[in-house]
Amino acid sequence: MNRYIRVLYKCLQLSWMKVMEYRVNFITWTIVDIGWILMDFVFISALISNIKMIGNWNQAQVIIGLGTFRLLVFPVWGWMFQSFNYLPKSISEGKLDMYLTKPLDAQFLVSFREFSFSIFPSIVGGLGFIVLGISQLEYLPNIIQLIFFVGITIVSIFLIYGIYFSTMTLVLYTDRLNNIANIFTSLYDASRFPKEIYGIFLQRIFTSIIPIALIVVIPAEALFLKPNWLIWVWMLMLAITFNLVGRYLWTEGLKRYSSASS
Amino acid sequence: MRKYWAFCKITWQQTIAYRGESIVWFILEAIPMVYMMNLWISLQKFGRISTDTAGWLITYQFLTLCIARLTAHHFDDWVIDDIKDGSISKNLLKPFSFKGYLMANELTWRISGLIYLIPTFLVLIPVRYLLSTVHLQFQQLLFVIILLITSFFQRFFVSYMITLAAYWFDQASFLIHLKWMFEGMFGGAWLPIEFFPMWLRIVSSMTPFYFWFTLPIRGLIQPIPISEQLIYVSVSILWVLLLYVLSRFLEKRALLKYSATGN
Repeated sequence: MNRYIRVLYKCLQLSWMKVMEYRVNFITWTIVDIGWILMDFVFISALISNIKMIGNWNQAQVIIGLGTFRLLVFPVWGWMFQSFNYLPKSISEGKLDMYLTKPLDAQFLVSFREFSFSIFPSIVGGLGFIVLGISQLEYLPNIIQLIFFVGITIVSIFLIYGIYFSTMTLVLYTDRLNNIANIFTSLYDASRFPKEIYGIFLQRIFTSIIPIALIVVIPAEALFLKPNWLIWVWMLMLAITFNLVGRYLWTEGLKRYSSASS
Repeated sequence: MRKYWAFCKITWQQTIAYRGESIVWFILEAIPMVYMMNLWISLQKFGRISTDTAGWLITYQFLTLCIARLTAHHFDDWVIDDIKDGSISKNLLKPFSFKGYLMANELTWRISGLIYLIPTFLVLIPVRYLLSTVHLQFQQLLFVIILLITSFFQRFFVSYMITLAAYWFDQASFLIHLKWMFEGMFGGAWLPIEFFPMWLRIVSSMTPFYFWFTLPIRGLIQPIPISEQLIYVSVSILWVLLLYVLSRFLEKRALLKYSATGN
């Protein structure tokens, strides 16, 4: 276990060294992230000023939802996308050997390969939106709600990883699927809306088979609704299931992998 | 011309060879449509918007997707990478126009997308909304087709200029994000322009982005007087010319600046 922690620390260090080496790059992408935060706000403001409510959320609740969405952008874009983005090309060009021959678990290596620190404004922006939403609600979440929020956000990250990694393993079963890393990020954009906008059939799908309607909505609702421990257990079960499915698809898929003299 | 026809044929073969990627592109484009469509339907169910407005918004979302399929370009990312690592040299040294190659490439991808994907989208959306909102008259259809052709070229030259930026600085990819932001906000790719404040609508009408989504969709769902149509077509053609001249100007300077080793 210590070895894995040390390697994770090294990967973080390497990513940070990259940032320091290519500073202009870092500054540029930080500005792009700030741009997207503003665009999200403009989009949601334009939408909510015209339709007043989204599902059963009012303006303040939608802004809290947006804040949670931006907070989770950090693990999605700053960690998972950065690492997973290399996977399809590594497989189609036969470079996965680099990971398979190392004395560490290959899933761990492909999952924690790279981090982006230019997504940092999303954390600040996300917290800012949450504070703004709470101030508009004129209500302060109590300590239990805050603990529930932190707990469910961690479970949500675990679930996101499970879903994202499971989709990424599909590259092992096809010849070339270089754009697969974008599937989850596109689904993630849909996760900022409450499940009530969907019909019953899609609600069932988006809360169980492809649980994107839970990953942002439930942590956000933890800040303005009573803690629902049952949903916490449900999300935890889903997270465990998706991670197990991802692991199974990965190990089975690796049996099909053949290198190309890299 | 034979050379470019050959490029089209090669690209066509690629679209068939990499069907998996085509399906992924389809899913990527369907996701925003599915959630936005559900949002409009839910608003209608809760009585917050009328059936007519819901029909109009759903049609808008569907047409946005069709237009994106027909006129968007996706070469900026890989051309920027090729310029940065010097592998663009192999394209610059060959006896064909690189711009023409890109154009042939993109056109084929657009046509393939149209053939494979648009019929599938028709299954996904309630057709009754479309039928009640889109009113096609020959003359107006012609207006929309001209706008789509001009916006195809406008978007091509904008993307091409973005790639040219890579000759000067490494971080040119950020301009792609800027393009997405502008086409979302000023072009009406995310929401109808009517959702935004008046000042933004005025600014939007002064940019080429206005011709990318807002105007073609307006042309499909509401009548536009012929005098206005002529003005819009003229302005759109002017934008194409302006962007072409600008891209030529930048291209010449970029190639003078370019150097590569070992490719």
